[in-house]
Amino acid sequence: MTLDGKILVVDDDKSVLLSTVSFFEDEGYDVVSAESAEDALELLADEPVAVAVVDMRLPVMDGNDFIRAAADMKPGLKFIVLTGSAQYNIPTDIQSLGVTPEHVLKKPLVEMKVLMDAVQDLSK
Amino acid sequence: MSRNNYSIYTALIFVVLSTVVSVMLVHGFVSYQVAKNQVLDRAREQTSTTLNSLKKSLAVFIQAYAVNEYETIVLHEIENSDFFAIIVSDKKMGEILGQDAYVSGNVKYADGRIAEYDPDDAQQAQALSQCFYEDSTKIEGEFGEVLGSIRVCTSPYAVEQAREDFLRDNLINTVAITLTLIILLIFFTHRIVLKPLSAIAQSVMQSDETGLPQTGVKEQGPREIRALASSINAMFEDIKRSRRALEEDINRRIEMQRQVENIRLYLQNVIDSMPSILVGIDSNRRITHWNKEAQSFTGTPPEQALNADVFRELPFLEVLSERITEAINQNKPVSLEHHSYRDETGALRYLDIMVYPLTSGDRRGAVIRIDDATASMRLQAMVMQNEKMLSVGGLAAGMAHEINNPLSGVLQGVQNVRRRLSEKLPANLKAAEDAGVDFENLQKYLKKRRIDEFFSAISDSGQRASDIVINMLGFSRTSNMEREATDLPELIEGALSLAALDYDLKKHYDFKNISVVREFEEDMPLVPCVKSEIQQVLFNLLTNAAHAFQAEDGQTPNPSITVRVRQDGSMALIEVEDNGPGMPEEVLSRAFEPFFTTKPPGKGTGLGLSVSYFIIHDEHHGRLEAESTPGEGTVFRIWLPLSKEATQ
Repeated sequence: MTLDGKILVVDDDKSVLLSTVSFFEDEGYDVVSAESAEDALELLADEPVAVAVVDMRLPVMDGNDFIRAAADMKPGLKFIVLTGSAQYNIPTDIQSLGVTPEHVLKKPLVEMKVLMDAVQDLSK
Repeated sequence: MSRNNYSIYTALIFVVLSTVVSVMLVHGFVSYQVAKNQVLDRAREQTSTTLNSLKKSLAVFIQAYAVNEYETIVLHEIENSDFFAIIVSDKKMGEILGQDAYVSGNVKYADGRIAEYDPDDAQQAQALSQCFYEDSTKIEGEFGEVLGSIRVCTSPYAVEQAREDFLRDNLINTVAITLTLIILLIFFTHRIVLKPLSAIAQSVMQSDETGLPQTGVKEQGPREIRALASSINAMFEDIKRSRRALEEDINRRIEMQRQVENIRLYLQNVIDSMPSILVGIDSNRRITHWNKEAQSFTGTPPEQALNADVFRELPFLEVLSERITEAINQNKPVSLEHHSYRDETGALRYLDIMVYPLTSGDRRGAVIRIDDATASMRLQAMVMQNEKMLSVGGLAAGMAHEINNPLSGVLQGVQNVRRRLSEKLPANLKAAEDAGVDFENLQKYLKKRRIDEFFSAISDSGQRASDIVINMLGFSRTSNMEREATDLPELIEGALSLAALDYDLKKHYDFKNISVVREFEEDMPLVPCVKSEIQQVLFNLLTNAAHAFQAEDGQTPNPSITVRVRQDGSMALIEVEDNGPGMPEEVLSRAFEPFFTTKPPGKGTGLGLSVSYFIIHDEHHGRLEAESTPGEGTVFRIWLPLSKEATQ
């Protein structure tokens, strides 16, 4: 709504991707999606993306490397990590890109509202 | 002086004296007889000579009646001889005088005084009666006519004198000879016999502490004594040799005995220090050996146990009576593992029992070895549980991601479906209108068919699965979480308020109705631990206790939870005790097992206690134990090391 750009969702799990994208769409955001980091980087080149929701375990390039590449490509891009891993420790270089523990969300999301909260927090 | 205690001198003097005296006596007696006869012979000869000469000269004078002349001759004769008396009877003169005969003569007294013979003189008669020898002869004339007679008497004094001389000489000789002999005997005996003998005696007496003379006896003196000394030396050598042999033998025996005693002590120590109960029995099942472990297991001292019936002291063996007999009779060991019995407190115990038959000579018996396997069985169960939990942990970490993604699809999908059926989203209304569906009727339909309830159920199930995954992840926590010095009472307070909140939220029961007793030791040291994990464990124990008050058969009347904290050696000890219904042995033994739960399906994951166990045991190197008495309550104890090093 007040977000200056689109939301990019990257997840290799189709059903998760679908439900996350649908949720944002229902909330009125413009959403683009990709099933791999490589595809997502291509999208980033063309689309005006403000926030990227990133899964960590991705087929070839993983979530952390995607964040690094994406931040390199589009400085100021915001990130939300949505992971199914038991423990995700934010690497220090990624922390310096503005990724804080509040923006790391664990799957499964029992209340998807937290996604909204995170996006709104980032768009302030 | 006693008969047996006499010296060689006494004996010698006695022998010499008695010999010399008896020889002298015999010799004296014989000599005296000889001397007496000699005196007698001399007297007889002298008498006869004198009588013959006097007879001739007197015959002349008597015929001439010359009385004075022959009286002078007689006086002269008596003065110069030993004669005692000479008496002349003169018949010629008698004829003149008208008598039978004229008697005259002289008598010599003992003192040498000479008197004229007077037949009426009593003194003379007395002297004459003591005459030693007397003789008489007839005085005859030329023609053989009898002129008178002469009587001569020898003096007893001379004889007595001779006898006295003889005796005196003899006595002096005897004494002199005896003394000389004694002196010589003593001298030589001393020199030849006694001196070497006392030298031997002295050498023999000069013994060292072994009772034997240090140096040999000097072999000196006469041959016999040298032989004696030599045989004494030989004897001493023999004694020394045999004593040395004896000493060696004794030392060897002492050494052997010492070794035997050492071995005995060693064996006793081995037997006593064995952690097994060792009981020796004979074929009548009487106890012959009772080691320390047997004593500490039963509390019966060996004095009391020995010779007692084994079944009296170890009643749990009675069921094995036949097998023990069999082992002894067939000489075959019998073993029985995990033999269970209830001890006097009613607790179940497991024993490993081995019966080894023993045969020593004709005596038969057995050694019974009993190991209390209760602890090892528990340990085994714990190890198995630990392994199970480790595998669960490894599995959980790997599975979490794989499960979370599909779960995410389900849970997020359900949320989206419910949102897209709600009238709150404008897009929904628009889509319904486009499709020609009356949204209100759709709502009625969904309500009638209870679609939303199904969605709720799907959501709940997904959430439960998610809870399980989160709990399972507890096993896979890596130990990189920072330990901080923690004030346990403060941590417990936090856990208590969390538990109360959680409990009330879930509306099981009012946690405020449970009385919470705090028994915190003052000045508790800070404990290094991961606060959130220990709080999770405490939270778990507290909610478990609260749940326990709501057993199927009704609520506990005065529910109470006691939380204690104190120092236990190098550990901090936290106790969480409830007065709930407690747990039976079967439940208690599986309490820490993953996925084991007594709660109805859906109410508990069965992971709370196993995760707690993992956190305490593996993460903090502490101990977590549970003790429960059915009907009285349960107490959980957490030990946490106080030193940071021990927790790494």
